[in-house]
Amino acid sequence: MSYTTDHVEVHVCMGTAGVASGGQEVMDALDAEFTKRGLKNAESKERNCAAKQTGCRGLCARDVLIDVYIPGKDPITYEHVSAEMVPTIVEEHIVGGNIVEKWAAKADYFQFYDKQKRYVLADCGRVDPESLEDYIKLGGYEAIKKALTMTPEQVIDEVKKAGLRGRGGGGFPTGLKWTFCRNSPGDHKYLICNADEGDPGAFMDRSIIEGNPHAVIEGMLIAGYAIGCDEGYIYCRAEYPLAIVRVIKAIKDAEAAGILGDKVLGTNFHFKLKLKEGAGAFVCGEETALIASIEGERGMPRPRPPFPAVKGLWEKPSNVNNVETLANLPSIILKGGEWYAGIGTEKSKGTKIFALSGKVKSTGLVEVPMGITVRELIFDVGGGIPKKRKFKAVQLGGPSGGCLTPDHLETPIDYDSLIAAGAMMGSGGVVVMDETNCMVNVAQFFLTFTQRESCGKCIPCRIGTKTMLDILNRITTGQGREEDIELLLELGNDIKTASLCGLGQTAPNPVLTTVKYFRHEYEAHIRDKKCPARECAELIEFVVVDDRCKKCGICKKACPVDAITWEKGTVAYIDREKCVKCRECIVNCPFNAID
Amino acid sequence: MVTVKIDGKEVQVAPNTLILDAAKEAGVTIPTLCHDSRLNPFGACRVCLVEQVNNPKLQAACTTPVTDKMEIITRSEKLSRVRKTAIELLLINHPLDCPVCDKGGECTLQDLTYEVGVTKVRFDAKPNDTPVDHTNPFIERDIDRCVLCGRCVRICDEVVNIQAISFLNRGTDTIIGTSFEQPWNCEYCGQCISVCPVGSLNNRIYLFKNRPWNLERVKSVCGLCSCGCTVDIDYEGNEVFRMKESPAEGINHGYMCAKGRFGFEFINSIKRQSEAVVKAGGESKKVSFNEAVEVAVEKLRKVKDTAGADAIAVVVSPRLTNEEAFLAGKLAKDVLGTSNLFSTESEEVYPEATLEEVENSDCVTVLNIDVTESNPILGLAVRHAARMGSAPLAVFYPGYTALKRVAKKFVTGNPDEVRASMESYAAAVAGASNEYSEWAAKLTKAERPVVVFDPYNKADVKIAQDIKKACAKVKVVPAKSKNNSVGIVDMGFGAKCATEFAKGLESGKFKAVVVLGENLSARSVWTKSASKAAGLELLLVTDPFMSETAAMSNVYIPVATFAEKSGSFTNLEGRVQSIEKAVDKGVNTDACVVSAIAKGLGAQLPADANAVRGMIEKEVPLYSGINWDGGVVSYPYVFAGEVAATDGKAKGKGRFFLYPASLRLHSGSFTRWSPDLAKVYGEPMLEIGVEDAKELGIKSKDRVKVKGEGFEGEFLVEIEKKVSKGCIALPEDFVATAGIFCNGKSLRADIVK
Repeated sequence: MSYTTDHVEVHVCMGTAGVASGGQEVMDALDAEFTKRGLKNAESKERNCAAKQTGCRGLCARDVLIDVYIPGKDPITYEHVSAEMVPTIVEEHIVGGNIVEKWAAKADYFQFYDKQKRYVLADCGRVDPESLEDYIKLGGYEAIKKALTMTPEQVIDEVKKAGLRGRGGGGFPTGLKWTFCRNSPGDHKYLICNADEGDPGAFMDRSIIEGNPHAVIEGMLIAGYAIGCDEGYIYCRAEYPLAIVRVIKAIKDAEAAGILGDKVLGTNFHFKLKLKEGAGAFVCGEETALIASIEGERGMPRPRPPFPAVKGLWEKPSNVNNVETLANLPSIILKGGEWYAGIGTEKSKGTKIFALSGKVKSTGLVEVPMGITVRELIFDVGGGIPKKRKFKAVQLGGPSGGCLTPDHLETPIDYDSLIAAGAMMGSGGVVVMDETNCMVNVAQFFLTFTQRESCGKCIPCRIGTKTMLDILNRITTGQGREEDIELLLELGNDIKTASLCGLGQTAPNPVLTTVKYFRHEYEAHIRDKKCPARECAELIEFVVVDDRCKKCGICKKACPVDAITWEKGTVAYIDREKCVKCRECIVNCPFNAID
Repeated sequence: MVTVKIDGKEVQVAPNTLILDAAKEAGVTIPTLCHDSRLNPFGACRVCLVEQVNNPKLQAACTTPVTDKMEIITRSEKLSRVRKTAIELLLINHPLDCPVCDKGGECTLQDLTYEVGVTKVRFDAKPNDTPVDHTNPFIERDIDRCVLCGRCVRICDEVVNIQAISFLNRGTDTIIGTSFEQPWNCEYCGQCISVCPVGSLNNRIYLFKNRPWNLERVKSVCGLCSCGCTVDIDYEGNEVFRMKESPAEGINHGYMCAKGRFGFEFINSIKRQSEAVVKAGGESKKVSFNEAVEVAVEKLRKVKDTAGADAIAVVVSPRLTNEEAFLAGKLAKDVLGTSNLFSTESEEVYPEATLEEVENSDCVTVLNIDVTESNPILGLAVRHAARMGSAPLAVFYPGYTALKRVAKKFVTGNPDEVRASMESYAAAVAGASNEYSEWAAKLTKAERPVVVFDPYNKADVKIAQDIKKACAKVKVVPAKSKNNSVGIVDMGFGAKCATEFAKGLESGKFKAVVVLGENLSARSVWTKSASKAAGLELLLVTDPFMSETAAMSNVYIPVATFAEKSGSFTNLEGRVQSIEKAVDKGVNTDACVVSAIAKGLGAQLPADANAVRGMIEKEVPLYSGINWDGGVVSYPYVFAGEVAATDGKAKGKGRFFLYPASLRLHSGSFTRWSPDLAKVYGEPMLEIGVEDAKELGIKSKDRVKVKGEGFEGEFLVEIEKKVSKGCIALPEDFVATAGIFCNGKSLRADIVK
């Protein structure tokens, strides 16, 4: 994991989170500072300083992150960097040789990386995503060169040996999938990269593409060569503008360098690559809907069989792989399938990238070896729950995944264990919940999403999810009926059994798992008309409990509508006529004194 | 073959058979809602889910092909529950207005609700409440009742290829609609109505008129063009309420066109005549059928005695049945002793390719005819070949037609240019090297090439013959126009040239003319001489309506339409199909008229279709042993002889090229008496391109004068994007336009404001 330079290089996170936190300003400030101080002198080692944009390095919560590389010294990372801090860093660290300790990353930053194994993301955060030369300098396109010396069958065997499984959620063995498409008769085959990452809170694929687009292209070249595809599509959602810009540039650069197009790297392998922007439909992440969308049709799933491997894009044999799956390929080819198979568990090999979000200290992107436990992921990598609150549940696998409880903390994260526990790998979304999260509300949140994103084709998903949501809505607003829980279970199971595509087949999961593990919360909503986590505003009385109130007055400050009267030394009082039930008081009260 | 077990019953079916069809083989019915065997598998409703032994996942029977040794269970507790849930879910938003829904009684959702046994819905009902859409003249759209099975969208796309409607929005907001909620821009074929399983798309012609359980039904053949579509005629008492598809049956596979589906109302028209009329001394008198026949017989006898049998002519309409045409021929030849048998049809060209062969063709060429409007079901067959079978389709036509969407090559221009292009194409097929060589090669290399052409355009017939001569495997489709255009020729009414009749009228050779169902004034070949018929000793006209020719007659007898008689039609494939009598409007058939006249003249001719068929089988060799329910006549040749080269160049002078427009929903004869078709297209409209209209300062619905050498007429303007610059078009078969096209099929004309 070492990276060396022959000059001073400052890597600035210019992933989406980095840019949003002011990455460009930091870049500009560095450049201005270097210019001002005459530090852009190519002749001198010490006085040759450059600011380099890189992709996401994971801990987005602390952006803007910068790494200062000085030849012969260990790189130093600074957190929460702003343009104003730049002159100091340059002055004291780069020129003066003294690390600015107050801003430099501390142990808790490195703890985030301790249990991670960053192979796919290795170069994210080091390579300039907009520079082909930089990618090549870091060993890029060596894997495809090697693959082109092998036969396609050998490439497939290597991937089979590696035991790579689809990272889009299904976990289907990649090598086997390729074999189907390779063996499918047809003179023209398509390879499609599924970059329509739509799960709320998930940004694994986004970061890979934004941070290292050439790695995805190289992966596609390897897959395309192995399967026998001569044309590829990257189907990227339009909500990822930066990813799109970088992919387009990468494709153009690779074409100019003879890496894409006719005669890839001078061989007889031809591979054209195009980018297709999605139009905002979550369901287009489903491969048949994605194919329909590329064809210009309405993004609706199609029945399988025929499988895309037989009749896919434009009715030609097609293979759809997820971004992360493809990004795994270069290292498998370079280091060999056996090396890869050495990471992870028996049935789930390699690493998996997760997007940590919710009630966890270090929100961000992590790459961990398969088999790591839920506890390690949340507490060791993620740093645990903030505000000293209790861990309550974790939603794994995005909106169609399932909720796991503290009882599942020792569950190893691999495809099969998660399914056995009632969740799923999904694409890698991890939403952590603490005691202030109402599980009925959580289920309602995820179902609101899937329901809205249902394409409307099949009855169970279209009307069924809406009906489930209506039931949840009445439960969270105090209209719940005694039979509602059973109704949710019956309907949820029917939707799972009967829906056409993965969206509907998994949409009820959050409801079913929360009922399974948190049934008492549902019952409290229905029978007692109470929300134990005090999240469902309709079920909260908004009264201050005298013996819990420490008379601090924080609630009064938090209230946006002046509904709370409080004077020093008195218990606060909420005027329920004025109260708009925004819950700001509850969220801010450190003593749980409002019921 | 693979073996599958369905509910314990073992069947052998071809590999890749859908579970649904395999079940049918096994005698097991699986309920469906969104499935239509003619459309691509869709799998939206999930009602047809079945269990596969050793597979935890349920399979949609309508989309999943069987595999060998597959074991399927179609009835189980799990399946009942899942199916019931699907129907319950549909009933949440579905307005329960079944008592006033036109679909009540023949609604798939009703049937499924009953079948799966939904007696109570576990979920709160929230019926939709959106205003009903009446922007389409023929199709009522009630999106509240829609179950989003997508059959309408798919049939409009996959079969009709118009793509007028689509799914809009997502999730529960999904509706069927048009892009940007524009009014429907479609051909009004009503295929969408035919596949709607619920009362979401309704036939406005039938709306609120009856309930399905009151209706009786006969299966018959549509009498409105030469395609010969199998249809169901739904009637109560003596009123026809619907003409609808016989699901998936007939050469039309259950498809119909606007004319067939919405154009039947003339049958019930109050403008139909019920009494015979005899004119004498300038006075018209309503008389009984027998009296009218007596007058006609008397006059025929007189003319035959005084002027000889050659002074008598018999003209039949291609609307007549084979049996009637045969009888008319017998009357003329055997009873009256004349060989003057006339019709607008000729024996120059005979049918060759069947519609199925068109559908399965691997290269189709359409020469100078808008087949989607002249013969809509043939049009569907062409589209099928081009779209589903991806056969390269080349179309030559002066303006764009609906085939533009599927044609790989569409050659337009003014009629002279199109003609020149077609000639080059024919030459290229024969080996010449020119710009069409590449296309000609597609035709000559194809295994099952088909050429569709207009048999009424001499110059086109010549081109078709040249192509056929150069490439023998080409099968041609002469797109004849009327329901029995082919059959009457077989019955002897094509031997003499139609112009000979006009000459006979002009010269005064004919003293007595029997016109069975034909309207001389509306036929371009006769319109100029038609007025001469007014002064004849006898002009006997039979027609359901008081047509222009009937009004000139001195003996008029009202007769039945195709829904009121039995017999047979021979369609453009040469397929003989029986029609069934549905209703009785209290008038006689042409067969009765002929039989009565023969009787008056002392001869015996049966009026009963079955008796006549016996005679036909004996006397018409082509029909000997024919299957009257779908048998195809095998014609010994397609082209009777070498077609003479004609100068196809536009005649006359003028700024514009004037050519016969596509038939717009109807051809100006029977269907102009159908009020709903007339609402959409009531009179001949002059089509002109956008640019030309702009230059001349003409707007839509303006009334302008068209003037050319020997003709003049005033017409409403319709501005059409599809018309090429420098061209104008008028429909041919209206009385007002027959007088124009009698001068030629391709003319020059000016527009005078």
